[in-house]
Amino acid sequence: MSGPNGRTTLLRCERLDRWFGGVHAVDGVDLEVATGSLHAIIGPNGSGKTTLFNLITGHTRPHGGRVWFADRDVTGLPYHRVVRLGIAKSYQITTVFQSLSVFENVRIAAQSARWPYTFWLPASRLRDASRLAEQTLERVGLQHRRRELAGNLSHGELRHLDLAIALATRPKLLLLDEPTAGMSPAETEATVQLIQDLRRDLTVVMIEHKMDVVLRIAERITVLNFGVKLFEGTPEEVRGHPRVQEVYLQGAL
Amino acid sequence: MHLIVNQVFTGIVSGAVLVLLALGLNLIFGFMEIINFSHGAFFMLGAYVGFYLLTAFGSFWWGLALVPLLLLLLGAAVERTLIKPLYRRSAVDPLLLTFGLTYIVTQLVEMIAGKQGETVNAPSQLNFQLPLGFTSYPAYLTFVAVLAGLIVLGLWLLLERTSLGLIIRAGIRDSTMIQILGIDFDRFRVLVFALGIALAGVAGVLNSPVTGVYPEMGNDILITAFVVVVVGGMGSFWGAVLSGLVIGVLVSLTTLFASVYASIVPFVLMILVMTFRPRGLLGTT
Amino acid sequence: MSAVEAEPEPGSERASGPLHLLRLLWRGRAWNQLVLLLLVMVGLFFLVPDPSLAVEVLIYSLWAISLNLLLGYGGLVSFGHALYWGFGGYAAGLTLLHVTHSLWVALGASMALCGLLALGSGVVCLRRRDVYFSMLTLAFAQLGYFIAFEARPVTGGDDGLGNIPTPPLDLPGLSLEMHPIRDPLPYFLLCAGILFFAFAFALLYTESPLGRVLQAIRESEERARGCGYNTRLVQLITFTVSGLLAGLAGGLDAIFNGLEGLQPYWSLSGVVVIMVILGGRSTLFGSVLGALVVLVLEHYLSISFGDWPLIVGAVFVVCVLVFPQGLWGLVRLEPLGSWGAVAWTRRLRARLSREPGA
Repeated sequence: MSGPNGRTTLLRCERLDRWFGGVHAVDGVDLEVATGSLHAIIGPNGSGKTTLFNLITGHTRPHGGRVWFADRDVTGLPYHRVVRLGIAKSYQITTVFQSLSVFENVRIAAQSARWPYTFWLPASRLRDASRLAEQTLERVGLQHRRRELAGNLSHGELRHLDLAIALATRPKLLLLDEPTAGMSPAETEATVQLIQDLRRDLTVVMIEHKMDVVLRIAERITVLNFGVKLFEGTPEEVRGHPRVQEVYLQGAL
Repeated sequence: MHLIVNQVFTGIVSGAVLVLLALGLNLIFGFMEIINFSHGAFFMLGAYVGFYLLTAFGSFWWGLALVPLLLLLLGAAVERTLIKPLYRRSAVDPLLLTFGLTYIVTQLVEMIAGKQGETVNAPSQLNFQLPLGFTSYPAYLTFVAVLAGLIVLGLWLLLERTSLGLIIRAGIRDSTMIQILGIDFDRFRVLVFALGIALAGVAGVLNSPVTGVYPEMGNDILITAFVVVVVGGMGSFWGAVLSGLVIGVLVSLTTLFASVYASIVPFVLMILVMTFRPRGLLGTT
Repeated sequence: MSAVEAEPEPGSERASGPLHLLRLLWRGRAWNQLVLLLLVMVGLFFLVPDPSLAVEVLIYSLWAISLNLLLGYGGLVSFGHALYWGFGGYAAGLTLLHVTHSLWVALGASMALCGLLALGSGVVCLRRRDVYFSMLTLAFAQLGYFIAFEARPVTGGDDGLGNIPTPPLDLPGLSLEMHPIRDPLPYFLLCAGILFFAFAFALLYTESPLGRVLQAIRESEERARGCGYNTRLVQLITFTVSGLLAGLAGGLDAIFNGLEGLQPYWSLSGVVVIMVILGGRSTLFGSVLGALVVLVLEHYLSISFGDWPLIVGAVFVVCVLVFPQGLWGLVRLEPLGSWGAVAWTRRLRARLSREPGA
């Protein structure tokens, strides 16, 4: 399969549909994400961004349409199977294992690929998982906090730990749900650097509210409104699109 | 034929007692996210307090009138002293605490009143058979069913038609929201817990002429009340009512036809419901 | 919290204390608990005047450990653990009465059948979370109780299954006649040996990848799924292992007493929960401590004060209120440990995330 820019397509959503009660939360959305790209999804609150993520990861079953990942139909697969296939998700509200150490948090994610249900040898023997966990912590800049309880981290550190857990599953595709939410400008800048660094070996789809961030780092932008795909294009195209400006700014207020 | 009708009535009566217990459990669970393991202990305590009031005043009605009030106070005291410190902890701790409380209450009652239990006479005013056309039925049991029905109705009106009920229902749906609205959440927790305990106490008093009073009575019925809650759907008001009555009648009918299996029926029903409809008969999520 | 103290990172051992060698040997401090266990066993052997009390402490420790895997590590509060204890007892007793006179076959039957029973009931119980799970386990135990009560021809009903013969202790090259009442020493050694291996296995289990995921699920099931784990499978495996160990304990107890009595859930499932919480739910050794304290209290208080469970209950409630980490936490000076505060923030976050939003 080849997508835009002649690169292969990693993720493809075809006419995804999902209702909640009488609300058409996601309405016939098509999405194509090229391997190695950084794709942003924007839209006002309640426009169906998070629901779209949940449809991709298998949290929510679509009422119609299909999800293809690396040429495989993953529609309706349970979340943990989707993760194993190579899609990881970071959480809008930070979700970590609070009473475990930072290192343990990441190692649990790192060991899932090869040693998911092993109970006959100690986890400390899994040198490959431990090494991966160390590397991942280094990547997000938390190695100095490795022995701390996750519950004792600051908000910014928690966001990075959340990301590290997602990365340690060695995904091909990373879904980021508002990675800079609630961050100070300095923290936001650090996170932007981190995301750009991730792009070296990952495909990233992110939901983001901060337009300056999106316009700066995204390659393609999909705009959702009331569950419908309003527009898709490069940052320049989105910037110049009057209707997007109108809808997005209106909703953001 | 009249045997079957009689058993159905008996089932409705025992189901009505279960409903009162299950509604209290449901209310406390919904509002406070706590499973009150000591619910059975307060059921038993209500029955004993009623029994002692009956011995002291010579009238069953004193017990029925005073037990809810006394247990309302006791429930409030328990919530303030024992449950409140646990709100900031994991959901496991209140469960364990109320479990320990049951242990203590049961032991205390055994120590004071003895293990053997007592029989309780139905009030003399209701000590007759109510003629029902082709069959007749003890008036007291009819009274239990009717009173339980009235209490259920009253509780429903309280929840649906009063501002207090509005707050409780809002809290059941989302406690963060009513905290944001600036409502003194803490005060309502006392109220809801005490209300649940009072319901258990009333159920205990009502049940005492049927089975007598004994220290283990709460433990025996608590598990069935749990089953009622799970089968009806956790947090569902009418689910608890429906499943309480269904289980009461099913057990009662099984006693008639295959008594060996009677005590197993609720559990089989629960396993079936869990397998085929995990959210319960009328549960939502 | 055990997860931190037991975190066996390479190169993290410090050269201090007499257990240094052992640390190096096992590359993790959690294994020190095995030494503590050995000390307790030696203490029981020399200090406890009533040998049958010593044996009961060993057997109940095993049972409490099996529950702690679920309750402490999995955060799954089972109020029906007596089901597997009782079923294990019947399995061992019936095997010895009707099938064979081999100790190992009887205990094997206890474990295997309880494992199967736990697997089957676990599938149903684990369909729901949290308190629903507790209720379901309780209901299963009650169901088992009624079945045992009604199946009088097989189980002896409420008279219990009596006259279970004591099998000889067959070891390679050695066959030892056992008389639990007259001479409990061989049985003590047998139970001590089994407890030691079961404890080591349970330690390994909690330190293993699966055990770590189990603890992770306790913290956030959603995130554990996001790490690629079938969380229900992890819990089901643990439930099965736990039931299997409980069955082993039940089998040992039935053989020791020559009797599998039918007790209501209250006096059994409750006691083991108390042991685990009282001893400390964050470490396996806490369960041994809990079993020891409760049984010794019972032994000495029941003579002078018939209502001793009142004291146990009061201590339990104080423990939950003030020392959620139990006696072991008290020893380690961890009152109101990290668990509580952390769990609270977690619940708050969970609530916030349930808010409707984008």
